[in-house]
Amino acid sequence: MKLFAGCVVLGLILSLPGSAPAKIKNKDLNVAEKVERSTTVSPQVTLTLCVQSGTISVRGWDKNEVRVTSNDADDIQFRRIDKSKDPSSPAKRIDVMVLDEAKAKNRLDCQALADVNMDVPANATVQVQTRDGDIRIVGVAAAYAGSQNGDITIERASKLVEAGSVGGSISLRDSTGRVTLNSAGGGVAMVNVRSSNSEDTIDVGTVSGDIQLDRVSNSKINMKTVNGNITMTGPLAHAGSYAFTLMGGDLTLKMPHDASFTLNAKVSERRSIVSDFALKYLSENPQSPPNPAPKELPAPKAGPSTPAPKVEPPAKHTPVPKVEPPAKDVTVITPVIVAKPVISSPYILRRFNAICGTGDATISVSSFGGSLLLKKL
Amino acid sequence: MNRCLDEATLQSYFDGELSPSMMERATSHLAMCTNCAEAAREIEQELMLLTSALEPEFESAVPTERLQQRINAAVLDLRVARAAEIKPSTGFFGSLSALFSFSSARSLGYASLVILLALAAILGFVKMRMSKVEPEKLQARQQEQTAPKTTPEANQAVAKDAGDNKYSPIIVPPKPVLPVQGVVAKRTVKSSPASEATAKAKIKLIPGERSYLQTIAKLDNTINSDKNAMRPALQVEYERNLAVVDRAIAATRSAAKSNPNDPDAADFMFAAYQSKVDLLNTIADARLGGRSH
Repeated sequence: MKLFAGCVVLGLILSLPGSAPAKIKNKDLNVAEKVERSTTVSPQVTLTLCVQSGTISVRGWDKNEVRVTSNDADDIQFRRIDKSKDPSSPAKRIDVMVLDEAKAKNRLDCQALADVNMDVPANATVQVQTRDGDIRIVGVAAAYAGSQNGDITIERASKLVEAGSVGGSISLRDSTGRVTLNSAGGGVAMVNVRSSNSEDTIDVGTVSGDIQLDRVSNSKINMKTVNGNITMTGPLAHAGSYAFTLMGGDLTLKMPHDASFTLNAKVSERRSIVSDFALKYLSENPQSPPNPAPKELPAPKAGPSTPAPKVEPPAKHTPVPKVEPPAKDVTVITPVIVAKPVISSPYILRRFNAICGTGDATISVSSFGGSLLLKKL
Repeated sequence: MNRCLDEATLQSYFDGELSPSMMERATSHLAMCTNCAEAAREIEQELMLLTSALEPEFESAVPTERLQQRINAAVLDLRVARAAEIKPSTGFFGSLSALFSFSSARSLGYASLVILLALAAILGFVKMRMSKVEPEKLQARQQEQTAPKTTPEANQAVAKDAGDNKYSPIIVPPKPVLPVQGVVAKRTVKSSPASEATAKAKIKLIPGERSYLQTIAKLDNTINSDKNAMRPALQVEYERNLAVVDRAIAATRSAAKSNPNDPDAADFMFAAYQSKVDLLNTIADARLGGRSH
């Protein structure tokens, strides 16, 4: 009897370690299960989705339905936030709540650690946000995306795009409408972007990331970077307005050989302007510092016997240099190469106004410490 | 002279107080009159006895004479002192010794002079302190008007930046004016030229710069209010880009200050400031996270 009891106890003890892994295994199997929720919505529904960490993928489709799936989430819920009088009517505003097991008890928002896939109507507006993961949005009307360190990729947006990232890059392709992109350390790339109407503008800003535009045909573009380089490739929009503000990076404009534009550039005297285009020199109005040293000024061509040029007093408050009408006997310079001066002088801003072709588009460049390159495609 | 000499005449005879004719007639009478000679001998003996008894007293000078001698000596000293004043060529050390020879009048004069000098020193010190404290108060008021309130951490950062000669738009809040004047004076004296130059440079803001600084200070306070809310990856990215923006601000600000008549130079500076505002806004939003409608 004692021997039988001892065997039973020993068997129970030996059976315990084997049962624990089985439970974990079951748990893993539960987590790996795909959670899927769907609901009927208005074609122009606005959806918001927020997770703490994880990749968000949004895809537009031809159904008036929202479907959200996740392999990591414990639960997915739709929270209707529009104030419709008829509860049975399709929702116009929905918060997608993604809850994992750890956070499901407290029902905290934006705390899930899960990858989420979402299918939305093609005319939907999506607003997604993640902290660490990447965001990919394809085929929606309007996209608002934000990520701290993840990359953001948006394709085929039809009306509006607003995206911001601190450390990640932003890529926009094949889209139409108004665009606003901001990244601190990541780069911004836009390919094949166009406007749906004349009000569609493109505003791009970075701190240290580079900006690259390829075939962007919006008529009004504003780009600003602190230390990044800007490269724009493609034809200019007719009567388009392009404004570039750079602190330390270089600006490279690669345009077709028949590009027609007016160039209003404010570039540091210490940096160079290189152009492959036939520029008609309109005016150049370098503004000297208040008390420049005469010997530090770039001396014009003067022979040894020629007296030193008089230093003109600086012009007082000339906010915008007036562009004089082109003289009849202007000299066509091809290419225009202004070499970087060797001497170390105080900061001198150089205003360079020129025209190429008929001057359809207007390119305004304000570069504090970068070079300007105009290249032919 | 046949009549005998009386005692008063004999006393006067021995005191030598008789006229010469009387002295001659008294002498011839004493030679012929034995009674007057005997009386004269007695008076002479009494005089000799009195003289021998009072001899020590008669050898020392009488009090009137010693007093007269001291007065004469004092008068002589005064004459010597006046002579020394009239003749400065008597020597430097002689003058010094004369200065330190205190008479009662001179002591009173010296005391008055010392009191006057002490009053003048006190007044001068107080006036000097007022002139030093006023600029510091003015500077404090100006900084109070221009600078936003920063956290102590920001103050430390500013102090570090000042030491590294790295530009930072955060303005050091004004130092509290201590009630103890001496402490303030000591701080004023010990402040290094670099810190004074930095403080002056911070006071001289470029027009339009203040609003940016205020906005940046508010955002900076918001971000620094809870640093734990910022994850390390975000913190690294934030500081890296902040350094880039600060360098741009420093460069453009320097250009704007060296070209005060160039509005474009100021525009570059404002663009750099705006970049910092945008960056801080982005970071502040990223810290909060959450769903925004």
